[in-house]
Amino acid sequence: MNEQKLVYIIDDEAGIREALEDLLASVNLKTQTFGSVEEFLAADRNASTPSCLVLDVRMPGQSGMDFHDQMREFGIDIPVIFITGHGDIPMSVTAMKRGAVDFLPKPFRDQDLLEAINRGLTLSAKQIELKSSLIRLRKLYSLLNVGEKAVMGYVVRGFLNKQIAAELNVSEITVKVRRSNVMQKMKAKSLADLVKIAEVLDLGNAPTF
Amino acid sequence: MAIATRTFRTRNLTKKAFALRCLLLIVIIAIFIFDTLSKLEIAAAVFYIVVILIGSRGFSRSGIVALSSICFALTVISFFATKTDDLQTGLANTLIALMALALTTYIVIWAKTAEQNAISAIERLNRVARIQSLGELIASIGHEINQPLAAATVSADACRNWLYRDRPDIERAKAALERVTRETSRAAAVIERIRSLSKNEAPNKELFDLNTIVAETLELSAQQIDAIGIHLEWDRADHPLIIEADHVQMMQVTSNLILNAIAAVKTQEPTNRFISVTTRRDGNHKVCLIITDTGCGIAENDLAHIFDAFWTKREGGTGLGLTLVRAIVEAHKGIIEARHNPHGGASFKVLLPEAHQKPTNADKEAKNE
Repeated sequence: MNEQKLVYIIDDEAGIREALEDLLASVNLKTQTFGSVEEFLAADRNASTPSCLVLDVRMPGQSGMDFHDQMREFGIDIPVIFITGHGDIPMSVTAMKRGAVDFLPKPFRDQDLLEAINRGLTLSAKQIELKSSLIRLRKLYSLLNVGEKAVMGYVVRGFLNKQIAAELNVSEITVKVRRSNVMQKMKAKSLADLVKIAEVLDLGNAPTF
Repeated sequence: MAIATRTFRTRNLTKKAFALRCLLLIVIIAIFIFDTLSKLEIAAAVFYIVVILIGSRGFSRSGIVALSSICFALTVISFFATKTDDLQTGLANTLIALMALALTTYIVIWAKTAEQNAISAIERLNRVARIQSLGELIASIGHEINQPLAAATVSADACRNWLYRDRPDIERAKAALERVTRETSRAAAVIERIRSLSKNEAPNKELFDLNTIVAETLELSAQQIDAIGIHLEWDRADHPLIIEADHVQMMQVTSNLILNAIAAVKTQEPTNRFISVTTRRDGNHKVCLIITDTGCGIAENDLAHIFDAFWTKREGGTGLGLTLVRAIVEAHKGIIEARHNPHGGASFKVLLPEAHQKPTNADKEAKNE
């Protein structure tokens, strides 16, 4: 299981990189180390591998804090754990507000780091899972025809078949047929399931037609 | 340096003080004889003021009070010892003389107190300036200690993990342990450097290579230089530049000049942040250190003042950094010049006499590193 996870490390200090790599290896975690943000950006990354980034705050070139701000622009969405030589409280507050998993002043206890990394990896796995299920559901949803999409929109908002028939100006039988098609195509086991799927797809805000 | 100057001053003072005391004694006796022998209506006692004024130069406040009391007593003795012609005028004159004496004493003591306050203020400021420039360095040094310390801690943790595995991996544990040793000695080296910086000892002149001092200074400020994105160039002499100087004081010279250059280029556009350092031999048995920056430079009118105490244009500057630098350079029989570059920025040139002996072993080692 651990083989499928990856911890990225960006620190300008070779000694720290080496030590961190070895520490994580000793608990069977795979790592990839970089001396600067630029090196990290140049490397190939597999977006489907649960991963997190251990990032040094202060580095020549681009600082870790600035990079954290820009990660979204680069399309990188992995949890970040900051490590810093001289972090102050305001800095850590800013980092946490911007969504960092943790902010560890050097030198830190290995349990603290490993615990943060585990949280980061779990979060990453969840994010990837969420993303892949979203893609899967979008694909399923795209297979519905216009009529079925309309029925689904009303169903998940709690309309009865009779009401939907009236709204769409079709017979109740048609609604029933489309409804069962929707359940099948969306692979929903129950109405509650379908409502959840609609939430993930963010259909609540979609226009009804 | 502070201690040495003080002893030097004290020794000089004892000589001077002895001469002063002799002079005063002669003057006092002369005035006393004149006052006693002259008619009572001649207020010769007024001349005791001269004694107080001379005494003010070399005596402490209590010394001046004592001196004044002696003059007081002598005036009164003279009054009774002198033959009376006109008692009324004589009494009035003596009282005026005593009043003048008292007033002079008061003014001298008052001036003395003010002077002393000013001196202690200068001493305090000097200390603050030194602490401040050290503080700037220490902030960057703190990072340098923390890095190896963190690496050592992490490596120690890794080592423990390798050993506590179900099947301990001794080889990897050993490698981790090697790193712990390496990193801790790195931290110790940094601490050793700080200690040599903060020592406040008498000048301890030794022979060393100016290049090593410059290298150490640049290493200590590397963090800052990198953080600001300064392009640093060092045109290093390919042969050792041996000087006989106090290591710590020379560090203060180089670090003050470098910190000034950093502060100057910081105000410029990121593309225009250059500092160039040159170390070379300069003709007549002199070694030369030039630090040039592309900062804001020095205005023509300011060139004459930049080494003055308390003269500063930098926000929050104490105006003592360059004063200290010049004092140290001159104490080492050197000269320092500042000039404004035609294309902007400032340039500082330090010339020091070259020592002829061979470098010590420590220097050789430093060079080989």
